[in-house]
Amino acid sequence: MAEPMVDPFDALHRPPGRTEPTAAFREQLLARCRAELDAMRPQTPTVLPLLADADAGADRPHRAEEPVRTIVSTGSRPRRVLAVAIGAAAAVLVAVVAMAVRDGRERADLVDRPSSSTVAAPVPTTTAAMSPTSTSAPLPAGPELPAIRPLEDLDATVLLAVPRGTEIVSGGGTLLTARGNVVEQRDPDSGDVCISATLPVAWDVGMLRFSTTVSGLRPAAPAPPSTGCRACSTTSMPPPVPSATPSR
Amino acid sequence: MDWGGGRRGPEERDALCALLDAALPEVYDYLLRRCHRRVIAEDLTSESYLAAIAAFGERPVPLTVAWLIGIARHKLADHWRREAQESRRLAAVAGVLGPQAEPGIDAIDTGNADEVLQRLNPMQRAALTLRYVDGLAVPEVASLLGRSVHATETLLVRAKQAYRRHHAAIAGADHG
Repeated sequence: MAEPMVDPFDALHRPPGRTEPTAAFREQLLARCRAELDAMRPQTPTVLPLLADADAGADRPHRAEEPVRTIVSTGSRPRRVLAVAIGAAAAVLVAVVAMAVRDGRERADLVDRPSSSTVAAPVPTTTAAMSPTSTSAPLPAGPELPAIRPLEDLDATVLLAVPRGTEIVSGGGTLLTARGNVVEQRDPDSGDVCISATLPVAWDVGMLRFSTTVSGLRPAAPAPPSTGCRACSTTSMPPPVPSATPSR
Repeated sequence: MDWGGGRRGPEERDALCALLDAALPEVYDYLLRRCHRRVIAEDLTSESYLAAIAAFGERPVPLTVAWLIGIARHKLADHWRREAQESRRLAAVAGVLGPQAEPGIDAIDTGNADEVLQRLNPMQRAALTLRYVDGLAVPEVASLLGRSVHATETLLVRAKQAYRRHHAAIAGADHG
């Protein structure tokens, strides 16, 4: 019978002993242990009556004898604020969509109007004076300019539908946006601004957006002259004609 | 009144205080006979006692000396790991290579075991101490040292070789 294998290192085994630590170490360690155990004792909670609603006591004056309470509201106030914010955002979104739809319909109406493509013969400049305070007033639609009418009124901006080739003599307004090839010119004699809108062939109506005033409108000639504008050689539109009745 | 998050009563707290007081010599002796330095033994005893109190406040624990010795053993293993890391850093700086393996000897002399153990590197000392001085099984030693069983067995083999080499060196110096 084989003898069990004995590891010679088993001789290192020692039974547990008792070596007393120093008295100072013992006292210090046990005192710290007692302090740690005391720190684990839960503190007695101070029970304060909860307010039914954080807003209820807001207006009530604080009495000196009662403790100051900081109450974190878990009520419905955040939810109310969130609901109001969502409602406001929805209202703004609906308004923006409605404006976009209305604008699109008006532009489609202008494009589809057959009368806008019929441009009359050259006539004297018609004045459509519009001041910043009177931009909401519709332009006088005479027989010479049947398609000109305001599309959109802003504080100091007017959006006009202009037949193809129509010249717009402005009394100092600034061209903001335009559809088509629009060239802004300034007459050297009168100082008025002539804006010639040379629209694409497929378009019957261009839309120009001005600020402040528009002093004059003139229908386009049936055939563009070859002289061109004095101030701009890139357009084939006739030279600007000063406004017969300037607004300023 | 509740203690330890509502899980401990005052009688258990008194029992723990009594245990800490009564077991202090055994825990301190256990640590001192393995680290051989009074300051380190006191530090490890303090760490062990505070860890015991923390565990007492978190979960049910057996209030026995063996439980405290087990905590102390973990703290000792942590100390040896830190010491081993420091030794590796120093060896890397000095460019010292590890000891070469030597053929084993069947019998050892335990007369100067403490002195020989102190000459071993920390992990070898930890492995030999836990395995032979404490009498733990190899898997337990591996768990305490954070190594696999295979790595612990390899460590033990090298620790034995180092032990014999240092033992022979000390014996040669004494005879010379």
